[in-house]
Amino acid sequence: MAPLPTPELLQGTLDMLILKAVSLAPMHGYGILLRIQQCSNDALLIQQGSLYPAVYRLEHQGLLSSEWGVSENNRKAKFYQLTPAGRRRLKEEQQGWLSLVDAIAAVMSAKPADLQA
Amino acid sequence: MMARIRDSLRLLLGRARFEREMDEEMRGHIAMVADDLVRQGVAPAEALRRARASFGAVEGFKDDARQARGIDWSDAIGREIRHTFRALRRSPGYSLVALLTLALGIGGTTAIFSLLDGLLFKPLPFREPDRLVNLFISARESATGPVELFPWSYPKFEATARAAHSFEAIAGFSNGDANLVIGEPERTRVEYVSGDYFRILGVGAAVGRTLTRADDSIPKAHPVVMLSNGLWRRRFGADSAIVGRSITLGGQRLTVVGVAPLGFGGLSNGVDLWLPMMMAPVFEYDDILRESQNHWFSVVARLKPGVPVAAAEAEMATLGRQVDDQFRGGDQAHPWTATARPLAAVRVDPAVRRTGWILFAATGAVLLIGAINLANLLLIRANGRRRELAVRSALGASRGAIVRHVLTESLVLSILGGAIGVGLAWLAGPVLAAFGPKSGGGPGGTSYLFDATPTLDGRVLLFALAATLITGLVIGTWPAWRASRRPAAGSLHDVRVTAAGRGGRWGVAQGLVLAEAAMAVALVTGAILLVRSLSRLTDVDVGFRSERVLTFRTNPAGSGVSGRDPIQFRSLALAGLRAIPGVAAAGSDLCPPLEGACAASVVTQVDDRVLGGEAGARTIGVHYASPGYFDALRIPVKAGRAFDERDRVGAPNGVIISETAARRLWPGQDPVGKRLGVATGYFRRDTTVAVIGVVGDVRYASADQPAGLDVYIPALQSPFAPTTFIVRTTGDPLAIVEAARRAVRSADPELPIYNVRTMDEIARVSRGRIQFATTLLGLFAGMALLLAAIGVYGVLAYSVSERSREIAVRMALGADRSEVTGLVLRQGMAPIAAGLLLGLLGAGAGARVLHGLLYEVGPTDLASFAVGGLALAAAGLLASWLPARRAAGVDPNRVLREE
Repeated sequence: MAPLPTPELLQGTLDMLILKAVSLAPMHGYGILLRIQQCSNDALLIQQGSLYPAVYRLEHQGLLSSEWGVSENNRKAKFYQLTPAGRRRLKEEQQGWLSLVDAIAAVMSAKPADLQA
Repeated sequence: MMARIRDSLRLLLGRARFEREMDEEMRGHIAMVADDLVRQGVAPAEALRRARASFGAVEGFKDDARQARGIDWSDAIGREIRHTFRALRRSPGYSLVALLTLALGIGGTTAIFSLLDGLLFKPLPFREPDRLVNLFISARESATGPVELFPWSYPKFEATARAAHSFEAIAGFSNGDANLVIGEPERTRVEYVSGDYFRILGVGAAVGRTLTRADDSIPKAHPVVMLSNGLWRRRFGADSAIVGRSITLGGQRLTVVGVAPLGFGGLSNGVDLWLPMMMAPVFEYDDILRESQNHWFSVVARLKPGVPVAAAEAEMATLGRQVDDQFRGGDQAHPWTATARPLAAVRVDPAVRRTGWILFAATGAVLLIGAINLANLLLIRANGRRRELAVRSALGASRGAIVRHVLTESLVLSILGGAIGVGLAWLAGPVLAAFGPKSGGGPGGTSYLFDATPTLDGRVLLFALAATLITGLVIGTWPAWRASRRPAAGSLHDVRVTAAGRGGRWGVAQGLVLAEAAMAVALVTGAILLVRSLSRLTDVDVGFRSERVLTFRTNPAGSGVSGRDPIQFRSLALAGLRAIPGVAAAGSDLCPPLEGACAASVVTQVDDRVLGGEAGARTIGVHYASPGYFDALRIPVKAGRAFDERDRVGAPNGVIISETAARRLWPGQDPVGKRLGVATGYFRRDTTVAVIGVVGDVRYASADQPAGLDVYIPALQSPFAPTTFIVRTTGDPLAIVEAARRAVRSADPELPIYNVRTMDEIARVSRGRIQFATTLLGLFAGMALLLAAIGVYGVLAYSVSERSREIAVRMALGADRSEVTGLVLRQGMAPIAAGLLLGLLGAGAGARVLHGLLYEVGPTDLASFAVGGLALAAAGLLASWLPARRAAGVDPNRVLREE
């Protein structure tokens, strides 16, 4: 099991991960956690309770909407889905993230030869 | 955006719901984790423990979640309120003045409203009260004279009831005294009512049944009685088996048929027992229902649905004429007729109603002046914080935030002030009730109906709340608007840039000072008019000497030691009273002076002349005076003689008249030996009776009403039972009360005495109406003056501190101190002078409403206006002089260096 990511690092990225998780289908809080865990092959573990402040903030910003429903094992749960604004934000964040990753990757993969050029 | 609005709405609707949903969601999450663990084979209890552990600190996340939702209005307002409280604590002087101003303003308005509500607004507690009217016999003494209203005689009432079409039903009612004997004798207040009385009012019985038409058909044949709820509780322990039992009243055994609902005291007010009108001959005298000219009871009627009061009035005008013709013969110049008035309109003395409105307006003005002061103060404080507000605004505080900030302060102040004010109103309630107007005699012998106790009920509290919130918004809105309008950049750049300007910026403040001055001077002038009236009234000669006189009442009507005749009782009691050491004189009459003419009739004949309307001397007060009465009140005998022990049954009848009666009936002649006829029972045997004496005028109605015509009938020749004893003492009149009680007991052991008072007290109460209005208006006027002065001072003092640089420059350029003082004084006095003028003009126009409260002082009394104007000018000058002196003390070197 990978170590827990530090909260500072995740401050921005957790929001993005949540938006991505619910972009595929409406999902309750626990489901979002499971989805992130599963897609990352258990590399990303998020403290369960810390999900909610983030989800409420996104909802408050109008990026998520929610309604009460019943979970697959018959528990009452609140299901979140993307609003149009959320979908736009996800796209921006995703592009930003990818270019950041590219940039960092480029820096990290630099060789002495590149520097001389 | 939608989500945000929805969130805000949700928060506004209830933070509780947000909390509940969050809690539910987190619990659900933990349960789902536990479910998964159970599926993996973990024991349920262990699964739950692990699920909780993996979730983390629930409360911590909840806190984060609350934060994550951003700042909402309820949080922000809570913070503003805390902030305001801190600010108020930091400047306790300002807070105290502000709170006191608001508490007095809101409290005063609320207290007067509670009085007014009982007098004017609360609907009468009867079914469809709009359809209830009082019927009166009406007459004019001359074609242009005022309409006088009279009560009814039974034959006229009967004829009217048969013929009238406008009414569903009509009923007579009249109150009297009777002595209830159950153990200790007690005087009770009785109301005779005709059959439809309870049906008309829509009042049912709490126990048993009400009196009905079946109880009121044959004279003397209905020995039944209905009890008031109060009497039933007090004397019969609220025993519901009372129905069917008998009680003894005035020597008669009566069967109780029912108990009235709680709070119902009859249209006569404070009634203990109801008797059918057909029983009046038993308790009063035999002929009472047969005499067509004995007008002794009031009439209430219920209009048929859809019949307007005007139609009933028109019908009564015609019908009244016919009835008068039927009973009097139609040769008079000014015949009597009849009229209908809405019950709601006659239930309150018009002067009392007017007093209520005047006081309400006065408290409203005080509140308004206070609110203006506070608006100015808030503005000054907001100005003082301009830099702070500008910083906030630069940091992103919205205009809304600044408005919220100022409005919160004004609302917190007004709510605190309002709460204290309601407390003050609650404390003032009993005082208002004690000194306020009492229910008393209305037109045509009716009683004024109102709840004299101002109560802080839901209506009054609602009023106080509305007054509080409106005040808070009014005092906050203008400063809030000004504060939010100011451009932030300019303020940050140079806070003082506008301070030197004095053109437009003080326009509003000056206008407010003007308004304050105008209201204050109008109130002060009104109060001075009343004070002058009161002093005139205190000096007025009421026709008798009230000091060291005790009065009390008894009613030996058909009661007490069985068969004792009231005349014999009166003789015995008077002899007993005169034997008490310290008693100088004792006499009796029907009622004491100053308390409303309690019996009145009309002059029917002067010598051989049968009187029509042209004599202008129709109504005459009727008194039953015993030997010693004129002595006891020191009423001077002007001609002939006073009554003595010779004036008894069997001796020739003879009456004494008042000076006014002598002057009006026998102008320029000696009335002694002349003959007079009056439409009252005493004159039944002889149509006219010889005048044996003339005495000085006495003000029987009230201290502020001049004496009318009065006739005194010898009490020892009249079996009319109700008696007021008048005892003059050489020492403290209240010291002999017990001895007097014993004297009456020895004359009749079963007769209670009641209404024990001194004549001085009666005189004081009679001036009470004007005194009450004067005291309160004086108080409000003083407050208005003080607040206006504070307002002027506050505005000027602030202006001086803001303009210190300008003043310093002027002084540096050569202006001396007196010029600076003059500058500030002019600035202060200009709006005051304008307000003064406006206020005096307003007072001149408004003083007319004081008519009826003023006594021998015209509403345009110049002296009052002059004093009122001077008072305000003096207060304004003082309020301006203090800041002016400070301005003159500005040290130009220091101020300019500071810049």
